Amino acid sequence: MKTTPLAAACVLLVSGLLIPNLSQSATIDQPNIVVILTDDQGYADISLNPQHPREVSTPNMDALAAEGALFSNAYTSGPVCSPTRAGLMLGRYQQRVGVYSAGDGGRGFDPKLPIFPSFLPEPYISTAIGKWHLGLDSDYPKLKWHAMNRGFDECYKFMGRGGHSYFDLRSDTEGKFSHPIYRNKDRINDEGYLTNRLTEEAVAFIDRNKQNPFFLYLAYNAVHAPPQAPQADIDEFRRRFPGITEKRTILMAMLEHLDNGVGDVVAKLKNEGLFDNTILFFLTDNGGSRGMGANNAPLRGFKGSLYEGGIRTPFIVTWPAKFTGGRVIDSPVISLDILPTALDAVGQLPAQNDFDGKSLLPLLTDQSKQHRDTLYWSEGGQSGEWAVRRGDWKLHALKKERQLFNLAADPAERRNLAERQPEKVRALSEAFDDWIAQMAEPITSGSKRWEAAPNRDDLTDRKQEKRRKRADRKKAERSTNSVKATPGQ
Amino acid sequence: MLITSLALSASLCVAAPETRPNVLFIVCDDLNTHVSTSAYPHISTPAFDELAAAGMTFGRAYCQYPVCGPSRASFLSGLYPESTGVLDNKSDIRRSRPATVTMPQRFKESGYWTASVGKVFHNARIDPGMTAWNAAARFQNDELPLVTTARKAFEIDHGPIGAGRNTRRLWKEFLGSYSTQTRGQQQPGYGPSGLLDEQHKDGKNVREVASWLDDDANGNKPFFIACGIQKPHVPFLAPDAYFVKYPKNGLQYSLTPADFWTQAPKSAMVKRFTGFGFELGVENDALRREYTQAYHACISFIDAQIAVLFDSLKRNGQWDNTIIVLTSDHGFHLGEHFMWGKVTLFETCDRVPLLVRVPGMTRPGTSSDGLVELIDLFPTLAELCSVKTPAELQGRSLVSMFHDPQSTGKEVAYTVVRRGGRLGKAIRTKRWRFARWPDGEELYDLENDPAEHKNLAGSQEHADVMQALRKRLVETESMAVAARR
Repeated sequence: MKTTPLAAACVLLVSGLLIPNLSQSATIDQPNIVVILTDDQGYADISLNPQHPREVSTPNMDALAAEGALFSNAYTSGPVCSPTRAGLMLGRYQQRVGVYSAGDGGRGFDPKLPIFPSFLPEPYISTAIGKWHLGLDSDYPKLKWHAMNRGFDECYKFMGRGGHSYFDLRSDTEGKFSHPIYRNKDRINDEGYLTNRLTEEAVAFIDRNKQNPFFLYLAYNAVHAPPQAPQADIDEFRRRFPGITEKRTILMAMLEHLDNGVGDVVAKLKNEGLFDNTILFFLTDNGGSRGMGANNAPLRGFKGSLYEGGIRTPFIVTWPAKFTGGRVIDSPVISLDILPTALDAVGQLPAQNDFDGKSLLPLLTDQSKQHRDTLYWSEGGQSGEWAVRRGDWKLHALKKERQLFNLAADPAERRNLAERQPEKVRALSEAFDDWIAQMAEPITSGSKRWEAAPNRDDLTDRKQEKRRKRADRKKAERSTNSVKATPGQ
Repeated sequence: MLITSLALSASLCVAAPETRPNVLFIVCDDLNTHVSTSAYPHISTPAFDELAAAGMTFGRAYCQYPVCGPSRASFLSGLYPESTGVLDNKSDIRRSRPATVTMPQRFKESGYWTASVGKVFHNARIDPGMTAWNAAARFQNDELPLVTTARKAFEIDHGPIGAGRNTRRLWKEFLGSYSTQTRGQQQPGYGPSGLLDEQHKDGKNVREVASWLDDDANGNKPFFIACGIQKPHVPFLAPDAYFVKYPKNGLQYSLTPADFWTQAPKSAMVKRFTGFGFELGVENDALRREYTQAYHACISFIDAQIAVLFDSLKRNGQWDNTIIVLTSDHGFHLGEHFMWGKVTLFETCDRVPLLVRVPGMTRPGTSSDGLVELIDLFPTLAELCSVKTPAELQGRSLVSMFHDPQSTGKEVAYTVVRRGGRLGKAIRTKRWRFARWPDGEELYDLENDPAEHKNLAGSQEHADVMQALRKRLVETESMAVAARR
């Protein structure tokens, strides 16, 4: 793409027009920054993955990859929504501030810690649109954890919990998926289909800010639960793909709105001549969710797990003014890299810094193939799950169990090589020990490392509730089975 | 592991002989045959005349779908709409027919430098982007002075426009009632814009092409530049000078019999005329003149922009080495049959201007009355430029017609349009137009009734013609769906 806003301005100048206020829009030193974060999107629920099922079609996401770089070994720093978001906003492992689980992240880390927009230079206008999940609004109207008390200039979002109803956008209703929508710090009653509303808000934000550099954080809550989409779209997918489950039918309808949203945002950038000089990141916050019928082929596991299916993400970066598109980069990268990359792009990344993330620009501009040595994940002591990737090797730990995989040969993590390679297991375990030692204790409760039998008191209310329900269900199943097992009565 | 279809494009590149001609593909938006080269006498379009004098004019060229999105998806892929699966403006061929290779993509893969400006694919969202183009740009009109004034007035009462959803809605309502120019699309805006040519999208579109040419943006490759001219699509806005050319009381139009709709199937009509402010079967002379003047002003405006394209080709020494195609995505009703807008199967809506000039091949000033279709353009340009076409193309190259202006062309031209979940379908032969709708049929004798005022479908006298055309339509539709995926 050739036309930059600057070039467009030149065309006007040449034609002899007087321009009253010369455009202050993004220059190559101050590109616009856009982060599009989708929610729970399966690794194969994007059609640029050649293993995608045939009902999956995401031409707008695919087109982004054609115009930018696609990272084939990209990770999120967490296997669930909130930890990944915390890491993305901090550019540091979220465990450094005590976020290990959705509970930790949802409750919110210290709101005084600087996050993404605070690092950007003065002229940037920033907005947070969509799902926040970095602290609640229990202190309303003070809103300590609200984006606008942490560096964002404006927002259209909901604060807490993972999901939000896609149709009930009122702030005066309360339910599992109904909680307030904020425009800036005001609770509003809105209407529409949430995915489309978020797109409209993003497009309107771009329209308002085409004259100045901006940071758009667009955190779609699609395709997170609850499974909800306009009925006509669900019917259309059911007609076209009668073989898929009801849940997946709805998921596909949700995905189509999401993909169209991505297309609309990119189209708006293009129509305004802003796309060339925008550094845009596209990713999802964790692997696809089993409960929603997502597909993570060819990876093992789902959202919530530290197998690849929980933490690998499609990851695309575009910036046509700076690097050519249509490339696939295989070096492992992580969502923590987004903030340092954006700061590097705007010339605000000190050579010495505290970020765990690392600028991707050397990879993107072909200056380097080396990016990083080792990546770490931990869900804390309550789950006892952690993982380390170094080169092609990945150590996966669950409580006492250790599994070692060679991802180059075995991307689906089927062959455990731990017994054959004890020295690898030991080396990666030691690396993890060193890393976890630097991290903070979990915000909510429990410890960093798994202990053989955590106290029931240490469990969060939600976990206790879950365990109780599971036990009840098992009991119910047993009694049903015993009825079935006694025929003839 | 995510090795994708992206990798494919590299492997398809072939070394190309550098003697291949350039292509400038100009497609207008909603332009009917109110141009001098389509024997319409009440307009002045000197750029069209210039191209006609240099090349060949097709008097019977037809779109395959009378709406922007489906028509463009069709001719840019060389497939009938029933095969593209794009039957409305929302559909995306990338979903309805994955992996379809479009004309610009094929040119790009064959070593052409390809570029798109303005509306070529229907919108930026469904545009294939870098898959098809080396460079692409879309522009907006500068703000109308009327809008600036309106905004100042509005903001005194309501505060800044961007402030909230409610303010934006009020602002739209305010704009809609402020002047005819500041209306949206539902009730189409029209009138002198108060802008200069180069402040309009189309002014910017053609100047972008000129700057590509001036900068040799194509390097040592031949170029394929598609220029999507966006007028005369609504709103009918053009610089003031073009309105002066067409005084309202000097405009000419023909009347449709008031009882026309008693003899044609109801689904042949669209209700868009109400948006324009008309009633069915009632002439509103004053309003008709308002819109017609504005539509004609837009045509003269785009003609002047097209002249900028020609000048830049000449200035850069490319005039003699560039194939030029000039056409439109479909026609447009300006009150004919009491219809306003598009989405019908009448001649007014489906016939488009088509001019082609191939250096060293088309003879200057020739014209053809042979039937041709817009899907024929892809195979034509591919043949002229030694670009290998996808096997499934449904059009037919026009090259033999360039050599023989007397050629009768195709036996039928085929156009479809959606009504609810079903399609109306029409075939145009040399003499007849036959349409089949969910609720009836139409037959017009274009030789004796060029305005299509008399539906002969029910006449006993034409029973044989009807039978033959029904059969022909069935054959045509089975061919048109053949490349569906």
